[in-house]
This record gives sequence, structure tokens and C-alpha cells, in this order.
Amino acid sequence: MIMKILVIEDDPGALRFTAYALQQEGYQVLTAANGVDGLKMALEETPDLVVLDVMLPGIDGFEVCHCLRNTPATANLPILMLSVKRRESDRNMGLAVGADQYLSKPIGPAELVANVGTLLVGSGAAPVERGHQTLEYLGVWSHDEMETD
Amino acid sequence: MEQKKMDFSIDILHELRTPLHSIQGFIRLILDGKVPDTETQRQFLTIVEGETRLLNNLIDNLADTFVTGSGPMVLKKERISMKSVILSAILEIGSLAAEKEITIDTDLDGAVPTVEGDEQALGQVVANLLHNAIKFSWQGGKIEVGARKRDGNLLTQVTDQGVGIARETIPRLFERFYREPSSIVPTTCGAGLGLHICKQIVEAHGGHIWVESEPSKGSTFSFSIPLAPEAGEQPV
Repeated sequence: MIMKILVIEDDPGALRFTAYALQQEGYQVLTAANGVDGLKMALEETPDLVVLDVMLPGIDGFEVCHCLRNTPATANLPILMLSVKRRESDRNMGLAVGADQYLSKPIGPAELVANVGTLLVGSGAAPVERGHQTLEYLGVWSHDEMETD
Repeated sequence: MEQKKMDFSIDILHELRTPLHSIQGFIRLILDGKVPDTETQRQFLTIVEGETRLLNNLIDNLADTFVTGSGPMVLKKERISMKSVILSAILEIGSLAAEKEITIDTDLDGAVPTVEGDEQALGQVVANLLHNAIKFSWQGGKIEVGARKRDGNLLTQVTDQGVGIARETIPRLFERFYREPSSIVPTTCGAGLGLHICKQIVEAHGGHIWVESEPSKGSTFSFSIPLAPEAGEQPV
């Protein structure tokens, strides 16, 4: 089953980068450039995970996260927050409003993909093989080696 | 004031990190061999180029903030075409608009008279206004940039159909250390530094800058600067 990831990000460059990095790993990617559209899509499209920027026009990522957590349909949706706000107080805020993970930008594709994989496996949305794919991406584990062993 | 300066510095760091994030990300994807298609590689490198220009523009803004904080702004004034200033600015950051499927329309068909000004500084004003317009536009939105003669001045306008600005925010938007508090109302986080610089540059040209906006409908940023004297009146 192809897993669906919703990326909510207003910076066009960052949105394209995140979407591409995830598509390369076989995810279906939906995108929204602001919090309101992101919330709508999260309800209508039932994604398996949300990658959420913090500094968004309209309502910010903290509020989006808070809304998702307080809506029954999305209360358990894995949320990965990604932001240039990297002070400890920002991270604490992200976790306080319900993010499963809070990562600071800049972040490379390997770290992004690894964290998405881990959250999906942890939530039960993805089979453990997804975790193996992540390890392969990082060059830690090779599927071919494993099969010949 | 100290708290304001502190918040302002943090905002600058955020603004600098935003383009760095996609620059590093795209380069890493390409170096990791994750972008085999050369056309996609070209698109990504075009975005990287746009982001480095943006970074350069931010650094210019920052340098100007230091300068204007310590004395009058020094301008290199010459007779320039505002039309070419606008078109260069669009070319410079147009790739960012394309990523958000935003179209930029220009209204430059009428005779756009020349002004006496600093080409680089005025280019920075237009680039800042355009960048804000892109940032606060919705996906697939439209931006209009136009310039025309009005009452002995050249009026330049950048209009978007984006999130707009809350009425109570407008009077403080051009302040040096202003940042809008994050809240339920539409925010303009990150716009403060650029707008303060725009105001400094426009006023150093003897002009003024203002904004008209409506939340959820969009904003029009306008600035007017005096026209260059007629050719016959031009001092030799």
C-alpha cells in the first residue's frame, strides 16, 4: 500500500525539496502552502503522516498541530514538525502542542526520510520493511546482503 | 527596545536559514544521485540559484540596516529606467513564484518615465516587495507589478491576492524592529527587515512608501519617487 504524506510548507523551495525527497522513497505526497489548506487536506485526504512547517502564513504550524490533535479524525496522525525556529523553547512548544517529532532546518534528505520512516513504523501505519528501506537509504543496511546471507 | 532587538536578530536568523534549507537539501539530493533526470536537476539548480540570490538580497538588507542605523544612506544616483529595474527583479526571484504556481503580471505598457536613483537600491526595494508578495500569496495566486507616472512622481505598485495584513498592524509594518506576533490573525513573520529597508531607500530618494491591505484579500505595496528632471533641465 502506498502511504500518503501531507507536507504543509509555505516556502516554495523547501516544499519542492521535501516533496521530492519523499516521492523518491515511494510515498504519495500531498502539499499545502498554508495552515488552513493543510488542515482541510488533513481531514479530506486522510494522510498517514504530516510534515509541518512552523512559520506559515495565516495560522502557524503550532496552531495547525494543536487543531489536528484536538480533532478526533486526526488526533493520532503522526506529525513531524520542521522549522528554522531551533531554540529549545520552540521545540518544547512543538512537542507541547502534540508533534511526535520536532526537527530543525536545515535538514538533509536522509535525515528527513529516516525520521518519516521511523514515525510511520512507530504509528503502525508502515510495516517494519519501511524501516529497512530507511536504513538502506542511510547506507546502514543492504537488502541484497541480507538476502544472500 | 533590547527585547525588540533580540527578537529582530532571531527573525534575521530564521530568514537566513530558510533559503539555506532548500539549497542544502537540493544539493544533497543531487550529490546522492537521487535526481537522475537532467531536466529535474536543472530545475532544482534554478531554485538553488534563486535562493542564493534571495540570501544575497537578505545580506544586502542586513548591511543596509547597519549602515542606516549609523548615519544617512549613501546612494549612487543616476538616470535609470524603472521598467528595467522591475523586470530584473522579476527575473531574479521569478523561479520562487513558479514553484508556488504564482503568475506575475506586469503593467508596464505605458511610457514609464525615467527616475534619478540608485539602480541597485531600487532593485532591492522591488525584490523585497515581490518576495513578500510571493511569500504571502496562496498557491496558484496572482501578483501584479506596475509602474506609471502620477503627479510628477513615478508610482510603482506590487499587488498580491494573498493573506493580507491586519489593520492594526499596518502603521507599524515599516518600523525597524517590528515583527508581528504569531496569532490566529494573518501573520507577516519575516517581512519586517525588508520593509524597513524599503522605507529607508525610498525616503532617501525623496519618496514615500505605503500599503493598502485587507485580511484574506491581499495587499498592495506602493512607493512613489520624484521623476528625473526633463532632459533639457538636466544639469550637465
